[in-house]
Amino acid sequence: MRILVLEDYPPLRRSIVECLAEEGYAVDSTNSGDEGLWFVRNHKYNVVLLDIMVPEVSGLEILKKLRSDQNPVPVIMISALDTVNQRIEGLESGADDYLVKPFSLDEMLARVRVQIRRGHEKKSPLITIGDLVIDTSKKNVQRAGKVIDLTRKEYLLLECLAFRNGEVLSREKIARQVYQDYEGGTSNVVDVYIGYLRKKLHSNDLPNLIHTKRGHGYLLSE
Amino acid sequence: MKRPSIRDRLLVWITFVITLIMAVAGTLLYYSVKRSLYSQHDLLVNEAATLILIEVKARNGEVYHEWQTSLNSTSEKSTKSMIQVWDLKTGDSVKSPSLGEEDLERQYGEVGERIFYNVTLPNGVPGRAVGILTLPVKQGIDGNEGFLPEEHPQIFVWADSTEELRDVLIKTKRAFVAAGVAVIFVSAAAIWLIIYFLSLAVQSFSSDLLSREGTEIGEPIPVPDHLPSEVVGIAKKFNALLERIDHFREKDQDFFLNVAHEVRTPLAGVKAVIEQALRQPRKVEDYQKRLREALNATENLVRLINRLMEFGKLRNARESMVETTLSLDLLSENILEKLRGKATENRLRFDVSFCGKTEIDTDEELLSIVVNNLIENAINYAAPNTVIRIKTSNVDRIITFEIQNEHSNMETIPETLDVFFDPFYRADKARNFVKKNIGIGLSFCKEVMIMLGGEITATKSSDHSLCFTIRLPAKEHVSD
Repeated sequence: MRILVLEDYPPLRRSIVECLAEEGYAVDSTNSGDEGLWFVRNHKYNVVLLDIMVPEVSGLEILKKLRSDQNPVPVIMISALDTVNQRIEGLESGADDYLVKPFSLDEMLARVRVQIRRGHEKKSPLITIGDLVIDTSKKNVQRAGKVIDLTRKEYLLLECLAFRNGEVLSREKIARQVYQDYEGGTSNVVDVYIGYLRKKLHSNDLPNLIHTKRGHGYLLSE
Repeated sequence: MKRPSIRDRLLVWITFVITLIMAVAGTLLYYSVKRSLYSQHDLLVNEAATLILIEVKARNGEVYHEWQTSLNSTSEKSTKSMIQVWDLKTGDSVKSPSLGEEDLERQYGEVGERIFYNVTLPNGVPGRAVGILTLPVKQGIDGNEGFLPEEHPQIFVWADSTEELRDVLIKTKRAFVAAGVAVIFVSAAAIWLIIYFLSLAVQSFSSDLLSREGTEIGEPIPVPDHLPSEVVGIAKKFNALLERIDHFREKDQDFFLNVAHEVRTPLAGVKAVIEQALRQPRKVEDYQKRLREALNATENLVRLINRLMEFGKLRNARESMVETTLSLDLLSENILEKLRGKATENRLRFDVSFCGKTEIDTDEELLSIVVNNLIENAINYAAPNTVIRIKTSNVDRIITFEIQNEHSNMETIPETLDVFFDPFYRADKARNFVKKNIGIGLSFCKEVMIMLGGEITATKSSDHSLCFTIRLPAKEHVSD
């Protein structure tokens, strides 16, 4: 899951980025409105955290431009402006959520997760594929009733596939969503982690859920 | 304390004035009637006296009072007439029988002249008399040879009762008083009614005002069409006042919202840093790094709070102002020296033109804040590689300091430049932590200039430059 953070106050931006990264999200960040607009126009993000008062182009203008470009990326406005009118203005400009400063990082994470689920049209934090159950809020995975212990990268990879279950995802797409510093190229890091996942998910002769589509990528399905 | 009512005052004063007018007019009218009646009466007395006067004759060398004979032989009314004639030479007098033993009061003038006067008749009733100095008329020549009328002047007094006249005047007076009182009462009632109906609109307007809630400040009071024009002006002024109060309330509200907003971002930074530090166990060095970051984040808060404190203190600072004589040129030069390094960093150059006659009596510390703010703002917002122009002048004893620079982002400059002086106004909606702009510098300058008895204005010109001007009165020259 890739998230863009646009916040100009350095201590806050650094903490948000670090918090999201520790949760396993791939995070891009900037303090400039112009740069933020370029990022969001040229990359695919699962969520954008957008401060209203940022230099050059304000958060609201960025949001309006995105929506006029028909860009559906979920946007959470983060702002110290908390009057009802200001919230309404933010939401009516196309924001999906509005977070008032100062906020708790846990609340921010919860809202980010909601937006990610909403982006994948999942209302519940639980994703069930056959006997595989993924709790996206607790980052907990069970197969046939048994808890499977995954590393952070393995979990992120599985969550990425699970959110789009039945859909073939290219290696590059997976890498961009999962890995913070992926710059493109021919790394086989995705294949390696798919291998690790398969070993953990398919033990005890359980049926294979991660399928390889040669030349296209991977998909998760029953 | 009971407040006087306009309605009551109007009623009392108008009634008082009407009473006064009625009293004066009634008195004048009464005396006019009285004078007229007496004139008429005097005319009759005069006519009667003239007729009788010719009956004072000289017969056989002696004064003969023929009127006495006539009086005895004429009507009853005539017998009531009171006549007395004195011989001025001898002092003897003859009189009509109605006088009995009493004498009439006598007054006279030149020969033939009529002197009219009031008398009290012997029977005690008021009367009117005419006194005439007359000379006997010779009746025939025989016996009157050698009789010289001039040697026998006679004082003729004819008096008549004015009792009827007095009765008429008493009735007239009563009628006047009754009419006056009636007019006063009717006028007072009419005035009361007029005032009452006229004040209905004012009363209803006043009830509207009183029924307003304290929270309805921004709502203008409806001004009904039937409200008297005199009150409409007040109502409009009141509405204008309400608007101004509302405007200032909004400004105050905005100010506090902005303060809250400005405090929130650094606070969110501190909170996020600490929260993030505590999310998982970390190394001591890592904690230290995060704590340092949180500490740095509080600096923004401290800076903002200090500025707000200064801002708050300003309003009470008038008493603590220390006025000294200073040269604005010198003060500006000192500040320029301090900020020259920063300007060079931003690739800016100063073009300074001081007039040399800028002595003013003012608070140096406060004025320094203003000049410092203006120069610092120019350095922060001037387009790189441009010139900041500073000029002072003294025209008509007004000292002016102008600072002009090409703005780096003229598109963001609003049409109405007064908003620059609103607290927390920023030309671009975006905050700029790099420039450490808090957004209350110019509003602070404005407050200071008001306190110093001067003004600050902003203008923009077509060549992409923005100019801030402060004006202060020049130092008063004390004559020796």
